[in-house]
Amino acid sequence: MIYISLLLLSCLAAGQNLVELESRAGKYVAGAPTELRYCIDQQLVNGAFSLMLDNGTARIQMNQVARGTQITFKLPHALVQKSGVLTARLFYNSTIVHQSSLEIMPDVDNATRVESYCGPKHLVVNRGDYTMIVSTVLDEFGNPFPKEETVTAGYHSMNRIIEKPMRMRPLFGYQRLYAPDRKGFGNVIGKYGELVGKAFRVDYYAVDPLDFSIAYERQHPFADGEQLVIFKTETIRDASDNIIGNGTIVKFLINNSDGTTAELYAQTLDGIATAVRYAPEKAESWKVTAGIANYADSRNTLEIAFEESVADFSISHLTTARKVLIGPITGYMGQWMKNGTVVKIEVTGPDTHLLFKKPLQDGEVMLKEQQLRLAKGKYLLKATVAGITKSINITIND
Amino acid sequence: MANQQKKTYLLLALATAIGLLFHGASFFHTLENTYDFHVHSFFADHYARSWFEPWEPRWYTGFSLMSYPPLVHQLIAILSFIGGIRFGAFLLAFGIVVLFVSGAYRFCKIFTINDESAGYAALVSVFCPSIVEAFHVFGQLPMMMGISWLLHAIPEIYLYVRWGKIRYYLNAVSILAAAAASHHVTPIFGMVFFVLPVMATAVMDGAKAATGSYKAITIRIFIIYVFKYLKRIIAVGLSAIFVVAFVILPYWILTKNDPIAQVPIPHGSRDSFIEVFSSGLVFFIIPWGFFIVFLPFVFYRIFSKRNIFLGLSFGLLVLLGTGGTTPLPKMILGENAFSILTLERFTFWATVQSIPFVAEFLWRFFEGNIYQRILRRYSIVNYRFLVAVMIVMIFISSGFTMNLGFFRPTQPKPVNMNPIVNFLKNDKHDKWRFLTLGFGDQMAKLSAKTDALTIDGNYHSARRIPELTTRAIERLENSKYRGVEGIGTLQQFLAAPDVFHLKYIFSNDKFYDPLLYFTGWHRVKLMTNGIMVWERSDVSPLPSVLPEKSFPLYQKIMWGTMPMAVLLIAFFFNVQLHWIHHVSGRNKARDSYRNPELLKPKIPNVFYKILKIWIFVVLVVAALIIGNLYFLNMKQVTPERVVESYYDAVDFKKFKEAHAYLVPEKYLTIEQFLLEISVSDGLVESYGKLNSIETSIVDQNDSIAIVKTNLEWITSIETFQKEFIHEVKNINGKWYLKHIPFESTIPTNQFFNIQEVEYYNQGRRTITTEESFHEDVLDRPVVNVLESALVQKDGRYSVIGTIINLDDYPSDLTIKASLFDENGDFLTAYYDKFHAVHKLLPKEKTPFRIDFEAVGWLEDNDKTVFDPYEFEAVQLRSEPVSYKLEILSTVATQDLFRNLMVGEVSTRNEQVSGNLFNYGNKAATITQMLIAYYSDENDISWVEQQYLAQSVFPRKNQEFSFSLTDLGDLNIISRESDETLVNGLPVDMITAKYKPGIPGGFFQKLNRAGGYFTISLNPFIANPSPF
Repeated sequence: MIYISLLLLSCLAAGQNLVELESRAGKYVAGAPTELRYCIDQQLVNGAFSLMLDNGTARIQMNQVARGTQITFKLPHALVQKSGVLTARLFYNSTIVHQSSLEIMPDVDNATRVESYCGPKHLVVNRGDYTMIVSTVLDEFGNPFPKEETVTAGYHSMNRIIEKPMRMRPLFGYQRLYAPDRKGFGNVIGKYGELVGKAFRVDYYAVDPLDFSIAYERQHPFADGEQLVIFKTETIRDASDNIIGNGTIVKFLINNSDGTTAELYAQTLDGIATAVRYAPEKAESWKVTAGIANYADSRNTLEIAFEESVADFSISHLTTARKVLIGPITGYMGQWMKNGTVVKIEVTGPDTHLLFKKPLQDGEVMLKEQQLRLAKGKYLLKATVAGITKSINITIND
Repeated sequence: MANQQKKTYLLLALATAIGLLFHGASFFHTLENTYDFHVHSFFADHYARSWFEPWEPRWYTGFSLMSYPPLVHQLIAILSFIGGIRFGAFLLAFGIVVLFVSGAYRFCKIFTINDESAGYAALVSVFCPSIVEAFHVFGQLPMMMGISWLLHAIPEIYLYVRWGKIRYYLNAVSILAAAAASHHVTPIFGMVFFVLPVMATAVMDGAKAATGSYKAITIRIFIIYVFKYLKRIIAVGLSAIFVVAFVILPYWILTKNDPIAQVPIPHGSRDSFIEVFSSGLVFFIIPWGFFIVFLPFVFYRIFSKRNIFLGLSFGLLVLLGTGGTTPLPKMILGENAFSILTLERFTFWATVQSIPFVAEFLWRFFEGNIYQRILRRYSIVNYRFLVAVMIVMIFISSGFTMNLGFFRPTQPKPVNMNPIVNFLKNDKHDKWRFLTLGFGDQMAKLSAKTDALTIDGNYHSARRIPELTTRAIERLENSKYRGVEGIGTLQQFLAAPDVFHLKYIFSNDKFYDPLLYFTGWHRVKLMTNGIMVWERSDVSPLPSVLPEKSFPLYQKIMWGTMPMAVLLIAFFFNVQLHWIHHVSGRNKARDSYRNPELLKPKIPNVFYKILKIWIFVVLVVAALIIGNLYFLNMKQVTPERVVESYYDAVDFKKFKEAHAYLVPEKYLTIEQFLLEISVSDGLVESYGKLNSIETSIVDQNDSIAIVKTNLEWITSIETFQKEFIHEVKNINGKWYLKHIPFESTIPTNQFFNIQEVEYYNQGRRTITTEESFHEDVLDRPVVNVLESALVQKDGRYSVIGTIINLDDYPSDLTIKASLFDENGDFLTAYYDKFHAVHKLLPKEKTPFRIDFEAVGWLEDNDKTVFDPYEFEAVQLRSEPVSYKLEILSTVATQDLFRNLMVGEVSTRNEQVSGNLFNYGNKAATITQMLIAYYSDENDISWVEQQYLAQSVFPRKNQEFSFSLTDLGDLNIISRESDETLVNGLPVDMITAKYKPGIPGGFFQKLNRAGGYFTISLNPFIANPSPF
């Protein structure tokens, strides 16, 4: 072993080759080279050789014992089908005894496929937004052609089909394809002669809503706390008359005459956003506007006034039953005000100030003296409902 | 004599058979509910998959199995090749029972007065409560195997020290090696608490043989004999040390190179058992069980002259086993060891040492002088009564211990893992880490069935990442039981999942739902086993090559071969050789290790007196405990108790019981009550756990009391306090709570429709196991940062701003901010946690706030209750002056319900009130309100959040109120980010293409002093189907 190593070293030092490549090096078409054949010196017969193949993406080692003065390695398909430089190093006892490289070229006479990528796949209309298709022509082993071949982009958009030659770069071609001003969708393909691939779908969407008008619906003007008032936008569109995308958030803002505010979220469906709100429980008026954040506002402001529904109500102290009865509280057509309508109650007396809310049940509120937990004495009890306040003096006897 | 020996062997055989029946039959319903069983199964699964590779990547960020002695796991792994891991584990457990019973017999023979009582000892060892607890509650198979080996080794050690034959030495050392390979702690402590006293006893017996009686042995004589036997003692000692060091050498090397440097995890065995009664029950009363009654006899016999060394060891073990009840254990062990060791094992060893003496008592009771004394003094009827009491006591004690898990479940109900395993296998879901919540120790069972990795784990000594090691939490999985540290740590993992490649969460506990939702996770599906899968978008997959610690080849080979080798060697010396000698009749060992003491004809009378007093004391203490429990069960004795009991019952969903505490009213039937409960929903009702109830009586007479009640609930995101004034009525001596009428408005429409846009993402349209096709990958929605600022408030830095979704697709956001100092050096980075609406519809805006949290709370924190406001700001090297924002957005398809109105909003004295109205068709279970504060110049200055604790049902209102924050100390550091990247692109490209945004935007501007504020809504829909 030491002898052979020394021999190798001395031969290498003397520039003497113990191993020669018998098969051809240099350029090959992908898939063509099948083997590497070496001629070896008599001294190395029966020696164990290993061939290291490396094409930059994969590395394979093959071992073989030389049975004669010729040694042949079958090249793996995975390596010879990939275009690029394939380096072959032959090792004998961890020493490189031969190094050669094969340049594997794509099979440019046999284009089999066009591979394309396209993106983004959804574009904004009216803003010069574009998608880009990138195509490359491939041989049967998937090697891209190095030359600037003429690849065209096919573009089907708005009932028109156009073809544009791609701008070529080594290995690939590209083309920008612009969105039209109408929403919808288009198809894009890459072509090379008769070779085509599957189409990419590109969607166009509208995002620049213009100001819009709003409206409301209600059945009667009474503040019964029960009626749902519906707010609606008109169909919201952009400058090219495209209806803006479904699900766009529209907000309705309401300023109430009592100083409070409200904000309602709504989503558009076919450009129309809808939101609802209960009518108030007392007479008041609303100013309603709407808008889409940063983009559009309502052109008009709705002013909605509500008339009082409850004209009057009674309040009485039932001394024998030791109860205070508020109500019945009836609405604009004599019906009970809805259950849950809030009655604000205030009790004032010597060292006492109680403030609490009670919901209406069947048009009235019944307060037990016991629940009020008042000490003996005289008190003023005020009840406010639907914006109307009534009061009564009550005396607690024990 | 021959008869007696036969009887003894019969007893041993009976004990083994009963042991197999008693433990074996129960294993099938207890073992899988124990704390440690699944962990050991998981380790066994590791060896079954890769015997020689100690690195286990599936838990934490990977850990080495060289951190735990492997014999038990490797045995299970071998057996698993026959019938799977479960089969292997159960079969081994049976083996351990046999090994233990026989070991106990041999150990006890050294100390009991005759062979028959050693037979009794074998029986006692079957029912010993601490053994039952170790098997059936803790599932500590390695510890049980370790102690079994040790008990087998002890007679051999005794024989060697006593007689000096090399055969005994080889027997002893080979068994000790097997013990070390099973459970290293057992032989190490066993040397001090078992081996040393036994060697001293051998010396004592040697001295006795020479002097003729124990009485004649003086300290001088004893010392002389110690020197006589010293060589053997040293030989055993050194060999034991060598064996423990050598057999698991890789363990010691790992421990030295990678010492356990983590915050100790609180353990009940270190509590004061009087203050924390539950700990006392689990770690003292239950393991001692019926042994407590015999303690005077155990002390009487163990502190005899011959057994004095075992007595000293026993005394120390009993003392150490009392944990933090007295300061003594801490003083003996030192602060460090006290906080690392779990002290219940001292009690365990003490009970093992008392087995021979309990057995001897029983022998005396059934056949010996106690039996005769009772017959002499009383009658056979009295004796039979006492026998009945004895048997009932033993069965209740060990039967109760065995079924502890039934009375007080330690684990969630068994989860069928197959759907999860399939989910992880499908569609490359195992390319990300997963996390389980609310699985208990069953998480290890899941890990054993899958190749997927989890960031959590169930072997806390192997934790490596600082987020876990700096905190006293065992697992993220059960973090709700670990208070502030638990949930706080979990929040860090949920807020920054990308760091850990954590994408999937399997939740078995809806407690965590709000936390998951509001940190930006969404539900993928509800599996057939009731487990909800949560997912976070935009989490990068695990790199294909994970860092792993490599170990030298010799260590791997040692670890893979040594345990089996020592087992075979022990088998050869103790069984094979023994058998050969026995069959050939040559070289038979005739030395005895039985106690050479003679049975004293009489036990002193004073002992019986002490025993009677002791039994009386035990009965009184038991009566007190039972009485106390009974009083705790008297729920209606005072007005306060009934209020507390009511809320307790509601909290534990015992609605029938809660209803029974209410003043009976005609309208309030149980059906009505249940109906009212069922339509109450929200953060507190559905996701809260009652944390404290404080009651005080405002007014009281004989029949009525007014009770003020302050309640506090904890949830995974916030704590909630509420005050109620309750009227309580006394009816026939019992107090009842007056029901607060259920007030609800009735929605106007019975039937209605709504307009809502729903989305669907096909995902992979081609069924393939390859990467998703290019055309199936959706474009990332375009979002824009409208405004942002770096601010300092209360000494903490935050980055705030607003983001709008400009796209036509709904967007799912991940926001990250980084801070830089004036030299442009990077300081820290963090992600959005709660302060953002993570899913945005087209043109929807959200304010956001990113706080910069430290990894772990570094300060000592002894709070046991979760405080969601707890926050540890990161310590920065220098002052931040600039910031960078990175926003990622993917297409969202769910959690986009927005049919809400925030109405009637009014602001008075910085107090905001209003109500939410839901005009959609789903109940908004928990609604988050994000409040963005703006200056008069339309500059954003602060962002806050509020949760609405009650559900807002369709077409119903829910009132809210909150206080505005004083922004007096707010310091705006910068209003322009150094760089803003959206989906990796500079934001300028977006503003160039899309219409630039207007800061402030379209919100209802709500006025306040010095500016205005806006409210954004983010509702969590617990049940996404229409209500």
